[in-house]
Amino acid sequence: MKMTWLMYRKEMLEMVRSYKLLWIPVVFLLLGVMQPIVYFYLPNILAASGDLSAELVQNLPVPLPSEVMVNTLSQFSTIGLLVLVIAGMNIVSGERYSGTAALVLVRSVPSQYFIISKWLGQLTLLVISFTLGYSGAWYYTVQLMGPVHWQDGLAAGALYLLWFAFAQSLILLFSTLLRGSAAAVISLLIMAALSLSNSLVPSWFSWSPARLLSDAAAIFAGIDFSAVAALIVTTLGCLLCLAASTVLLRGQGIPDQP
Amino acid sequence: MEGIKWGLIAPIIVLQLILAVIGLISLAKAESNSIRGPKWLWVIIILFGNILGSIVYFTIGRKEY
Repeated sequence: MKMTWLMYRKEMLEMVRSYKLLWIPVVFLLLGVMQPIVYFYLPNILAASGDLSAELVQNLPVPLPSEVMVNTLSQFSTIGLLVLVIAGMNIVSGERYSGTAALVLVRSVPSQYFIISKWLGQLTLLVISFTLGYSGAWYYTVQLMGPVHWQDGLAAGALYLLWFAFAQSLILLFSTLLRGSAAAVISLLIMAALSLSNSLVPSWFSWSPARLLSDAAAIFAGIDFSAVAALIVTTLGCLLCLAASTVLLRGQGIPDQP
Repeated sequence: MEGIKWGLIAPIIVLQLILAVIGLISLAKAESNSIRGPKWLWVIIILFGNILGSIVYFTIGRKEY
């Protein structure tokens, strides 16, 4: 426990030094704030582009608060996910190739502490960034569009948070296996395949982690949350990724320094 | 352009400024051999690339090891 805490603090210190703890939350906040404002000014933007008739622009429907929230969330799951994955792709492989892992692991730090502290560090970054961005979006949506049901908002946000945590566990796993960029590409491909398969044949994939995303949108549409299987599968998936990375890291040994 | 509340847009501008400043500080402190490509190019990208320019610098501009 004490060792995990020590390693976790080292992890957070490293994130401050590499500016990750600064720029990723700012990017999320920017994404979150931008979306409701763009929707609010959409008629003005369209009018300024000059291609549409004034009548059409005037009759443009004002989007519902729930629509804006759903769109912000899907913005997070594209650009936000890309940013998180690229920022986390060297999380283990970087330390291995730079020799830090050798230095740490040779001092009888068991590999599970190493992996868990990395994962907790990434999770902290994710929770801070996502909470900031989401509350920014929420605040502006309420100010510009109208009230958002707070239970719906919290539930949908929690589902997205779990999906992101799953993504981070995947990137951690592949980062112990491969070098950085390959790990990023494979994790992104898996996430894309999951959400594509879920949107193509939803009835076959009621257990898929990507179901969390469509359920988050459904919550805003007033449909009750149903995919308990997806919740369980996603949580198990995270734990499995952690366990597999621990075993893999142990099996790898320490490579010779270049 | 009348009818636009600048109080609404201000947070976006401020956040983009913060992002650019963090990027420039990080760039100024970095050794030139830990940056991909020449530094002056990244200054231009961060300043004129809006949000994307800074993201690109932070993600692929720096060698992490």
